[in-house]
Amino acid sequence: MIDLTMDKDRDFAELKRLAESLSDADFDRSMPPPGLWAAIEQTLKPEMTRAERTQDRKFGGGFSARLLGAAAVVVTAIIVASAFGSADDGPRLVAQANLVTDSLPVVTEAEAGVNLVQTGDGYALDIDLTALPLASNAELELWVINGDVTDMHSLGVLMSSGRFALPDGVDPEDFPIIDISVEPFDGNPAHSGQSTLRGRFEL
Amino acid sequence: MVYDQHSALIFSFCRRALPESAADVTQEVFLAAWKSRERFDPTRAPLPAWLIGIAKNKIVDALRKSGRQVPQLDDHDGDRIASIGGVIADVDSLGDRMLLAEGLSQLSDRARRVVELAFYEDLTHPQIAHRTGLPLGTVKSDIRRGLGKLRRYLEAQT
Repeated sequence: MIDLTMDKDRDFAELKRLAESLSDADFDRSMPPPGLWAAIEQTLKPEMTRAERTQDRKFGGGFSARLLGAAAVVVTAIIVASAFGSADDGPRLVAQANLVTDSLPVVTEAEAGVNLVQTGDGYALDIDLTALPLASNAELELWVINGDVTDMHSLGVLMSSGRFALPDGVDPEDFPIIDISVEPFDGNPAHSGQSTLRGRFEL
Repeated sequence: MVYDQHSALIFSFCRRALPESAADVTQEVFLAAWKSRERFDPTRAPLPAWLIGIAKNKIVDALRKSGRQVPQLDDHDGDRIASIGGVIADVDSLGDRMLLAEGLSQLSDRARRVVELAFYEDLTHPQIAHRTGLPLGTVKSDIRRGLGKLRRYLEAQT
């Protein structure tokens, strides 16, 4: 018998009926094949590039001051001067940085390392993320920010480790700060101000 | 991250509905989700519910496509159409069951225990309080919030 003091008796009855039809198999989860995300990312690449072009935004003044304060404390970075300038087909490592959560609005247990690489097409960031938790109502976005925190470019939505190309004409020396923000699904392409990890290349 | 957190749910759903092409359909779901991400409204449905809604459509599309390969207008055409209708209903209810399982797994251990006692053992609030040793007010709020969360998983998909 259903407890009649319960709110919304009908909803409860429907949920109860569905719950009674559950089998163990409905709780079983199996992981998709390992290469699947790479295939999805490959298909999305042209669209992600298009999206990032429309997402470039200047900072508003209030946010810029906050960001500057945070940027001053962060930053562990190692320069790897590349001794091989020779004809190497693969991407060339230019610099490395660790992204940390200190003093940022959204504290996380996660860690991320970033390599700045030079490819045949220009510069790109190789991001290596571990244990990045995310609320179900938001996504992560990767940004590069200039040294005096007055300009920024989105490199796209961050769903896993991977490579993100810098837009044409964006010089990493001018945009040495790497920022990961938590973006609500609100349709607003500007930076939310909710940064969770940040680091800086010493170039 | 959306993929890391929810691909197992979506792939498992696709695998049960379409064992042959689960990976392909999973890929289509995440491509479609990325392309329509502006339309996702977290106030209407949690992300797993939204993704399952997309997956239901993609699975039904895939079933329809494979149905087209069946020779048309033979004696069994009526049966075939009826059976596709039945399959669609099955996909819908499988998706709902997997979402409810997902929602239950997302509850705290205490809330899940309380909700399960109400679902599976038909206990009243005072009986649940007695059985678990929890205060009646805690039982009531666990049930109210737990059911609210499960309801959100199961309404307003797509």
